[in-house]
Amino acid sequence: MNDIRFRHSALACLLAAVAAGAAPAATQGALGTNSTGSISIGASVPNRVQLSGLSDIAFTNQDPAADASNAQNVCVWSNTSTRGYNVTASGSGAGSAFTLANAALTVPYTVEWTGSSGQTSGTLLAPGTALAGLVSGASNATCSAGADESASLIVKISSASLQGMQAAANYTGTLTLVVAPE
Amino acid sequence: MATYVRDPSKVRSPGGVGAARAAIARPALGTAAVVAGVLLVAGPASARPRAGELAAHSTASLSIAVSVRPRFDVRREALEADGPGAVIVRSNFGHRFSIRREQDAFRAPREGPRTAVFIIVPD
Amino acid sequence: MPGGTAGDAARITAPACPECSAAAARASRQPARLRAGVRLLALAWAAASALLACGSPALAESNKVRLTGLSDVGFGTLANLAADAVRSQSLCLYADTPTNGYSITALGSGSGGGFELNSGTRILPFDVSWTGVAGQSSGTRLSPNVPLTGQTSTATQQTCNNGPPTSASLIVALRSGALSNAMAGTYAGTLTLIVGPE
Repeated sequence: MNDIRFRHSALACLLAAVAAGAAPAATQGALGTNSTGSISIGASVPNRVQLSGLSDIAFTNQDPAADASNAQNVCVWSNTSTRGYNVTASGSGAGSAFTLANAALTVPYTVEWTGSSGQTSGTLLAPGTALAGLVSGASNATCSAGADESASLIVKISSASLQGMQAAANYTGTLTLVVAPE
Repeated sequence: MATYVRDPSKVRSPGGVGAARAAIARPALGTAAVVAGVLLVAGPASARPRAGELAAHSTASLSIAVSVRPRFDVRREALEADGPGAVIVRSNFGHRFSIRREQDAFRAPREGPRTAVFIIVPD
Repeated sequence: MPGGTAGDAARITAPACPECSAAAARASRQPARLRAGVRLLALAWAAASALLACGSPALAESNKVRLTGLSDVGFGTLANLAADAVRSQSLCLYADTPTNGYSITALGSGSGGGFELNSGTRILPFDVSWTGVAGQSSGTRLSPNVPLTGQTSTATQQTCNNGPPTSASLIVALRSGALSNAMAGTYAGTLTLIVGPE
């Protein structure tokens, strides 16, 4: 009877230890002039990305005779083994279209992206469609290591589109970018 | 197609005595004329940086705003060969504009070609 | 073994008692009353030796220490890399010294004992803190292979089976700066703690 009760209590203790996450690998110290113990430490870092460094854009009092273009360097960080990522852009127009509006008046714009900084043209993005196969050159999550920014975002409005706008009216919108790891 | 023309020599004239040729109005200094000047460079006005979080997906947004300066284009169309023509004025500002004739243009000699200068300004 | 003739000498079996051996040798040549006294001395010595073998601290400071109650640290999958990840544990640190004092030294499995976790060739550093108070989530930062001295234990038994159940805190932390710049993967390492009496 006592043997059975002992075995039941031992099993209960083992189950409790497993539930608490206690791992048997730790070694305890012995009584002595020095006592040494050791533990194992483990951690898992999942795939993560970060997009930063974006700036608002304002084409003010633009001359309709010429295209309007804004290129900016942005920071994209990816911690995957390939440092790969994809980017998806959505506008604030109907169906995520890349349009700016003033009440019922609208004007379209285009969005381009490239995986290196300092560029003034890149791959044309379609609203809601991911541009994949990009690789980040950033060495940390905030691109703080010198000239470390890793991508270019280019927004353009054609002269033809500008000429269709009403003068002295402000057309506005929002461009949203989503980056995911690859 | 409307074009923005600044050089009068680019305007076709039907010829003929008395035919008025419309020259492109050039804004004169000191006049309340069409806005002109140095072409604005399309550049970013960075209000604030935008950043997404370090996450499985990182999302960030930015605002875009655009406005255009008031402009108009003037072109001439010949209604008849060697006959009178029409001057087409198109503007991108949604209100009225006026056309006034510059009187000094009629100080030209009586003989020979004559030039009539019209100033087009938004109201 | 006592000297004298085998028939007359008191047979004394006390372990390792030089004084008893010498006394027994003299007692073998003395009257019976004296031989009884020697026998009593040997028995007392045996009892004292037995008590010391049981390790009872109540009798004398042994200048020995013991570290028990350690548990492995598993951070799991860290969802938020923008925040520090901290794991603390209470353990039993016993120091049988006149002041219950001890020092502690930590060594990691990184190069030169550095506090590093590894995933292949990738490194994820961590830091280690210690305090002589149980139940804490912060303490004195340790440097690899540098003793933290002047610590005092409240434990009264070498495995804390009576008195305070724990007497110190070990804190292991992964900082957000390291996490946010770490490559994805599974990292592992070990931490060795060496305690010495003071």
